[in-house]
Amino acid sequence: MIAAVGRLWRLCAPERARLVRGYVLGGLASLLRLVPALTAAVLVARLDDGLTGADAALAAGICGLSLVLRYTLARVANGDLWVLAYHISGRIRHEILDHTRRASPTTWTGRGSGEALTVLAFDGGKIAGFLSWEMPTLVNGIVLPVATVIAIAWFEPALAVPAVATVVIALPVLRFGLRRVEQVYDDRRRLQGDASERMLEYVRGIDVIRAHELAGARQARFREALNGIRDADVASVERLTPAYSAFQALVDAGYAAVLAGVGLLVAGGSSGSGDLIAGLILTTTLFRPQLDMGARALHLPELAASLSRIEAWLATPTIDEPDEPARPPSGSGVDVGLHRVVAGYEPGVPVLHGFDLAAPARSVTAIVGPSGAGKSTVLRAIAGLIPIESGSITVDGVPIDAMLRADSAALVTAVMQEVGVLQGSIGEAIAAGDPSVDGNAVERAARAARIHDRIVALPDGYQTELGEDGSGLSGGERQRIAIARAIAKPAPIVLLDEATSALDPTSERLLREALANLTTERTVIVVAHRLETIRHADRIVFVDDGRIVESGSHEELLATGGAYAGFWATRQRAAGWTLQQEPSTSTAG
Amino acid sequence: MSDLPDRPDFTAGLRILARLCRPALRPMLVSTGLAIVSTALELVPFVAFFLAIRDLLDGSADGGRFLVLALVVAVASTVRFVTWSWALKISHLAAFDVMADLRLEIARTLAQLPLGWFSRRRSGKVQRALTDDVQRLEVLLAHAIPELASALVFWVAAAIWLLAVDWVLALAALGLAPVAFFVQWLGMHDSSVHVRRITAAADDLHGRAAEVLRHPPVVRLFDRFGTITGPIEAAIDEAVAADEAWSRRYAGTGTGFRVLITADFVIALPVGVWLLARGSTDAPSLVLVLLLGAGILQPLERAYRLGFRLSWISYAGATVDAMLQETALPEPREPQPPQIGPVEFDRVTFAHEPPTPTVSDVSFRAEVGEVTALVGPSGAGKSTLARLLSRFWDVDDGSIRIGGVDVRDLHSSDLFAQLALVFQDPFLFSDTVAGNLRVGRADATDEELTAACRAARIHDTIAALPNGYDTHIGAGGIDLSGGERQRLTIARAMLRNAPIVVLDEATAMADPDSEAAIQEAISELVAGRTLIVIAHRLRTVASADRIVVVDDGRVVEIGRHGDLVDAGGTYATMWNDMRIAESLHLGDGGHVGEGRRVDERTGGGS
Repeated sequence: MIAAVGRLWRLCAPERARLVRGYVLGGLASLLRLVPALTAAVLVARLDDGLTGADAALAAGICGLSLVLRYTLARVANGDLWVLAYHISGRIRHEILDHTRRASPTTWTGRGSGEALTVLAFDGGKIAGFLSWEMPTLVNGIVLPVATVIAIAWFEPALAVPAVATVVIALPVLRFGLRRVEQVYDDRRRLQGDASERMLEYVRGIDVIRAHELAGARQARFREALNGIRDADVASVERLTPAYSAFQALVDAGYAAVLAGVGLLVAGGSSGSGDLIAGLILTTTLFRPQLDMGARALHLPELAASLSRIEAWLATPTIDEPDEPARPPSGSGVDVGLHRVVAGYEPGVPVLHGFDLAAPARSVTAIVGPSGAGKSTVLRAIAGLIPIESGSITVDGVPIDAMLRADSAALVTAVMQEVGVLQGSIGEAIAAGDPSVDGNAVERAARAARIHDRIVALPDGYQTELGEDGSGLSGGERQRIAIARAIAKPAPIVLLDEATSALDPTSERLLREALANLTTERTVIVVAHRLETIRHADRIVFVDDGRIVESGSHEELLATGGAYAGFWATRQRAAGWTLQQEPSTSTAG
Repeated sequence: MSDLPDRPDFTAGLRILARLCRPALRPMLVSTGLAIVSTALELVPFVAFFLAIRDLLDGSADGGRFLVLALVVAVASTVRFVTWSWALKISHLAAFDVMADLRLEIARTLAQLPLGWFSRRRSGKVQRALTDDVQRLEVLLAHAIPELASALVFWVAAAIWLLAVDWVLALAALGLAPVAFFVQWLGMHDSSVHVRRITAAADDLHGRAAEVLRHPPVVRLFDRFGTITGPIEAAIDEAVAADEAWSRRYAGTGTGFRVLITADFVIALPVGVWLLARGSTDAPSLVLVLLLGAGILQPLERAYRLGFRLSWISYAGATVDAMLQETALPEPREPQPPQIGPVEFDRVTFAHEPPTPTVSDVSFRAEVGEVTALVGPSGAGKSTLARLLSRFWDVDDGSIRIGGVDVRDLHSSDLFAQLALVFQDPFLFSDTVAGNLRVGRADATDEELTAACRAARIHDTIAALPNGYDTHIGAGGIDLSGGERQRLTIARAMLRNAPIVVLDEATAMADPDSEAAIQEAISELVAGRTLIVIAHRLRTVASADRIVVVDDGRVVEIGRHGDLVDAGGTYATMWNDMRIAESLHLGDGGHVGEGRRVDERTGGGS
């Protein structure tokens, strides 16, 4: 459990000196809590001698000064530590983001994107809370009792024995309790994870529930989920309470131990009653910091869980840059070649099995085939989005692996199925690939993408801020923004994964015009879902099961009468289909 | 989170709890009572120490008596923590119950809201209210109430005792706590600015990071100059800046509270010694006040962290409270019996954001047994019309009637019973295939399920799944493709057997492979029903009995395909655009120059 603090310490290496300064100042401040207690101890021990106004003035001076000094130190320590803690969590979040950028994109697709998000948004913040709140309490919980025990020992060494004994007995109980917390915390997370999912499903499906008048039935399930959450909560409380209470009671029993110690000393004929009184007064400040420390230590398992996720994320492999990077080809026309490429989303599960493709400069190559054939995977491999297990992808003969990642990315522009227009201004969205382009170039791209008129009709024109995932525009408009972005990026290779969603006819026409403009004078590789789009492509490649089945021009392939010809015929039948009032089962099959 | 109140509404959490925690009242009282006992026992060591010191001072110390005292203290400590853990266990269990009730109450409220409420808000906010915000209230019940209530009750009781012993000395010992709480109030009373900024920054970071992480290709290809991930960097920096600003603001008062609430002896000692020197008090009183003064600060120290969290809790309370206050879909006072008959839109006007109407003065009829198609550019208001029929919202003017009965005069269950809705990107529950189908009709037999699925062209796909109809789908189960999900929804709508079917872009998400199958499925659904269909692909609806062309919120044309094409209006333009779109090919860029532009705005809308 203490290991968690050590691991946190490693993550904080750059700020360690300032953290130490903060904790030392904070520790000193908490030591000053002892000064009024010491003063009280000395004065009460001397009560028999009769106290004077001078004693009162001295006490006022010492107590007042210690309070001011303590506040000053604590104020400086807290001001520094709290700000520093947030600074550290910011730095770690930047590191996480930076690592994510250098990691293979496959690391953070699918399930990985949720993990990356948790680490970045949640775990990164946990660290700040722990550094600024829990750590100082842990420091206090150690520093103040140690100093107090020394002070007690200075008055009456024998009294230090019960004080220390209490701690020696209580700490293992706390450790046992913490180990238990860790288990309880894990179990609770596991149990609540499922139940929370079921609870949230009610919200996500609320329109279906409402429309189907299912509220009653679904609320029963909802209630089951709630019971699941509650049971997990109850179980964790029930498992935690005994050990933690035992720790608290043991620490608190220290008062009894010290009192018994005084009793034994008195019975043994000890004469120094003043020292005993001093010991008793000091004991009043002995156990509180420890109880507080115990309470904060309960948060260690949460910290440990967050640290584990951060460490695991930062340990995911990043893509190596070549030692002697090749220079990327220059010029507006480039040949793209795939040579026996084996690639997929998970190691050892290839989607492409030795894929060969040659796309000459300024040609249009269309990839068609049934769903799941690996069409989009070809584009992802060329874009460097998935690792290549064997074979190579070359641009003008230069393998993309031999170039710097940034250089190979600069060669490619793309419009993918998930449009990926993000929040921010429209102008920035279009210029994303190259922010140095001027307003004219942005406008030219927008005109070519058939979206300029729509943009200037908006109240803020190119400065219009889009919401999350480009909300504020229709689907067709977002697609055309994405095309404008692809046009504005001066890259010789265009990858196009045609979106399958339908648009209204006018939007569809504008989109087609925009795509036609995107694909001039570049090397185009397109995955087409509507075959009409690519009838005139220079070459059509029919893909099935990660391999090329046949290739040629539209006419050649139709004449061959192979897989493509069959595909084409089926599509023609579907396109001629309309809604009919009387169902006809003859088309089923 | 821009709709948070300006100041933390500290009462919001309590208001909700007052409404919902009536069953928890008893346990909360018991818990607080036990906590008070426990807190009182916290003082036993201090009293025992006082007695011991008094004996030591007057020389009457007796070792045996001390041992007895020690025994009493040990027993008190044990009892103290037994009662304390008991108190907190009771309060936690009560809190868990109240949280479950609160969540159920939210669920019930949600079930009565108009469907339109959900489309205006991101479900993320509702989810957060249901999970995080309710969770935050746990602290209030489980910790804040028993701990603070016991600390305060006990502090007042002990204060009265001390005042009775020596009121001047007592004031010196007790005076610190009110000052400390005043300092805490100084720190918290205007914290809302910071809480809001911190919450907004955290939301923004989460939102931006989630958005970017969903799009690896965009990061890979367009982030060379940091244009894509740059905003996340900025969001991280803003989150840090917001927290730092709050830290700077709170460091002074927070430290002040902490220092004051642990400043045992600091005032009482000099004042006490001075009084003693003047002869205004005696030694035992001084020792008693010193020790008890220190002892009773101890429970208040727990307020340090709780006070800090209360403003967060109060925001959570306000959010949950606001959600429970949402206006339910108004039910008619005297519901009319539902009638089978045509769907009539009669001069319907409705504005999402007044005063700009989304649809205005829309009139058309959809006859029983006919297909009525709504077409028009995106943003024209087609989906709004379809949703007005199912009372996502109520019309501002005009009326919508089914068989002559205004939808607002139908009980919502009667209304929904008449409707089967198939929207794009349909929701499926994490359940078996059969469970999802029976959402349409709970008592459907297996044969009926199979029949609906055959008709919806999804039976073969289901049969090929590992467990057939018992295969678990959705979260944690098998993922179906968009087209498969849509066909499953159509099967669900068929089982529903409702006289009116509304299809909004039901084929929009599908790839061409499943599109044909979906359209076949829809054909099966039409028979003998009133079908209202919204479709972008004009070929799909060319044979509809009636095509209603909507543009900019108004009906511009109504007719059959051939007539509309001949009329040369909006529909004819769209039909023409579709044909041009079909004839355009990649690499044609040279031909689609600046000279042949069409007005993009007609294809846009908002």
